[in-house]
Amino acid sequence: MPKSLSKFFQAYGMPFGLLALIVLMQLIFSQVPFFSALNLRNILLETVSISLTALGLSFIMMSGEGDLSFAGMFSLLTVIFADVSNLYNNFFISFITVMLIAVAVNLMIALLVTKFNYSSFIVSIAFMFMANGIEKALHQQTTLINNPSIRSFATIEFGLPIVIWLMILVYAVSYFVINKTKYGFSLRIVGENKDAAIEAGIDHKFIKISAYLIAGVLLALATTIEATRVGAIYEQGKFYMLPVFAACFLGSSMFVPGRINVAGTLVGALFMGSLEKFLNMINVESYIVSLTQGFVLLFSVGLVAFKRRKKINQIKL
Amino acid sequence: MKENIVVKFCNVKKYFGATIALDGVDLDIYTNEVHAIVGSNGAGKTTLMKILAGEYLPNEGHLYYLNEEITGMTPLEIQNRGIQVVHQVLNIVESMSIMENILLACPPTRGGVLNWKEGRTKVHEVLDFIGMDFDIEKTAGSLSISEQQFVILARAIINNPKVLILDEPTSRISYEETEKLFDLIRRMKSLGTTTVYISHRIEEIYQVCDMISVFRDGKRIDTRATEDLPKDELVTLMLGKKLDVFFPKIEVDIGEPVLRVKNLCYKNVVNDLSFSVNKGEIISIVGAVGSGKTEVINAIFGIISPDSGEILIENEDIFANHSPYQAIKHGIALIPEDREMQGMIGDYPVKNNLTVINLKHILNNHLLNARKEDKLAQSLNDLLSVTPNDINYLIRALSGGNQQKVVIGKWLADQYKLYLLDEVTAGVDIGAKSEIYNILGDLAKGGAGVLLATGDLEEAIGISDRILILFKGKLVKEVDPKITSKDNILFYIMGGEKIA
Repeated sequence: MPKSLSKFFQAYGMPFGLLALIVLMQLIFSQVPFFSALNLRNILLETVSISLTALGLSFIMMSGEGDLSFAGMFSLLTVIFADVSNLYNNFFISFITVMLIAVAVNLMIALLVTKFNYSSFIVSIAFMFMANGIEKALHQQTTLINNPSIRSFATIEFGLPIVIWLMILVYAVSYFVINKTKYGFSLRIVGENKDAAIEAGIDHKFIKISAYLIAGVLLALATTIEATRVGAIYEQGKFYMLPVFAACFLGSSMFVPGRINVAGTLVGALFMGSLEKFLNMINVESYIVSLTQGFVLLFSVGLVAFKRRKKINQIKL
Repeated sequence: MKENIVVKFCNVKKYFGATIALDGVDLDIYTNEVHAIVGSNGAGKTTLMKILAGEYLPNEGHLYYLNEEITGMTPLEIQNRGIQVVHQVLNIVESMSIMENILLACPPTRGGVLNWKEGRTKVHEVLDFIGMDFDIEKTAGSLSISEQQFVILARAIINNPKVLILDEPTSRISYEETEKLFDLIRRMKSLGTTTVYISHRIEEIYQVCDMISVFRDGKRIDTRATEDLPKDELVTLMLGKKLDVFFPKIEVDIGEPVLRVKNLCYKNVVNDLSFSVNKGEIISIVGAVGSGKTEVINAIFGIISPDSGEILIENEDIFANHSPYQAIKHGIALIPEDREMQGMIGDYPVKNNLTVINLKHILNNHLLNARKEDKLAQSLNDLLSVTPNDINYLIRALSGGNQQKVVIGKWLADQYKLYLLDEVTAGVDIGAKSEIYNILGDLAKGGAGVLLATGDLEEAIGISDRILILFKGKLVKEVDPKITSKDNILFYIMGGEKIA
């Protein structure tokens, strides 16, 4: 296979493969109107929160760290948004509150990781449990926003709901920042080879902290959208843990194979959303949905590991 | 400060806890010089360079660059002033392109936005200057290790540094590439760059360096012009004592074959290879990078499965179902190439590293016995003169030479029939090298066969009974080092077909 074709296949083979899989499923279950405009719109709408959370996680992972706190913080933040909305009936106060808390928590995690060299997974798991604990203390059931104008944020339309445009805009800006700016370049170096970054004079601690802060902002956006669209569902974050990770890892098998990347995360998130929607439309039990998502995560991680394994053997020469 | 001094160290001291790494070092490095820094592991060379690069802060003392005091500056400030380091460890970013790797510290931007087009000319210029031809859009991960070394070099020289520090630059590159590197250093010298050259390879230092500074135990012992310092005097200064015989002369009765390899094939890395090793012999396999030396060793030890062939240990064919476990059962020992990853357990003390394959010797009723373990470890440590002699010392904290002695040491608790060693003296200082050669001599005297893969021709010539020369996986010639000259051996290594 000529070099350029091989490179093309490596970068774009997977997204085409995933699309083909969906098309295949449509052909098998032809009674399901998957490719209708309404359905596609709904998938986009339902995937926005996961996509934005996955993008935040992507920033953190591209900088070489990890995060699990979002699994607990997600639902806690939706609860806070709902409660503050019901208390003050003001969208911006609710949004700012959620933004400040998300950024503050991520800043704490980032400082513990960079200044004290704690493992990011362990620190973030700790925060996940703490967030979950606080959520339990607040409400143990779904909280809805009473104010209809705040709720309408999720459904304002300009052709498509404004939140979808927001997601597209955020991804486009992120893609640009990661791939076309010096900051993004530095971030990718820190994530791939910290020693190379130090040698190049990059402040890796600053970069990692900034990644966590960006993730905090994105999480705030995601949870605001979620709260206005469906309300604050108890422990919803736990259910999102799998699709968010799957989106990132699946994404790392495309466009920039072997590395977490912005475009890949978006395609991964859309695929996970499409898959779940499809399974729901053909009425499978929810445990099968979970099993399928788990399998997809396993498959995507395994694929990346497999690609890397061949390389490791060659280096021995 | 004198007119043509470019870097000056004044009474620089550095401690790590109770360990004195640098004990009051004064050193002047002049412009347009190629200045070698030599010394055993632990002598302070790397520490000194890390202080210059801004990675370490000296506890006492000052350093100056041109007329400016640079003590305590950050690595970025040091780099911006024109001092560049090429470290021992290659810090390549594999998923990024060659161009991105070369411009890693200075990506061309317009207002924060990357503009790679602008960097292209610069990158092509520096690659031309070095004499390498790359497709700069290729990912760095697709390059060979020696090509990556040159990419790192390009990164260091792209902004015309005034001082270039090279730390063991030739450990991963071939003979021809080393010549290229030396040519580059000379050309840069004529353009005003001072090179500081840190290396264990004495041969190279005499080829390219003008001045030699010898370090020992954290002190600078002497600085002399290369032409005024004969090799044996250099070694004496490095060790602090005279090294009488570097390669031990041993008389050993050669016995029957302990290893016979027949028609060994492995992918296209090893091609129809046949040779034998007799009891009491020390055989070296030499060849360029990629000639298949390591693969042959790994095949004999059962790490890789060759495609076809026979491997006979004392007439028993062990080719089928071969594995390291089988190898050890048949009396084969291996000292692997990658000390850090394969030869030792870095996070464990010397004690465990010595007993890891000798567990059957330290059992009491099927349970591990701590006293027996200590006893065995201590006797091996004493036998090898490991310094510091502390079996509870973390092995990673030892110098390279002492680490290697421990790696070899674990195989000395039993009598093995065949010892396989892959680059056994890589990164080992001159004192420990000599000790290791003595150990190999003793093993041969004891009736074992010793098979060495090495890139060090001096070593091969110095200690072997026979030298096997590989080129692209084929055995091109078997020579007797007492008869064949080094130049002839080099000729065969490069792929030359026939001489007298």
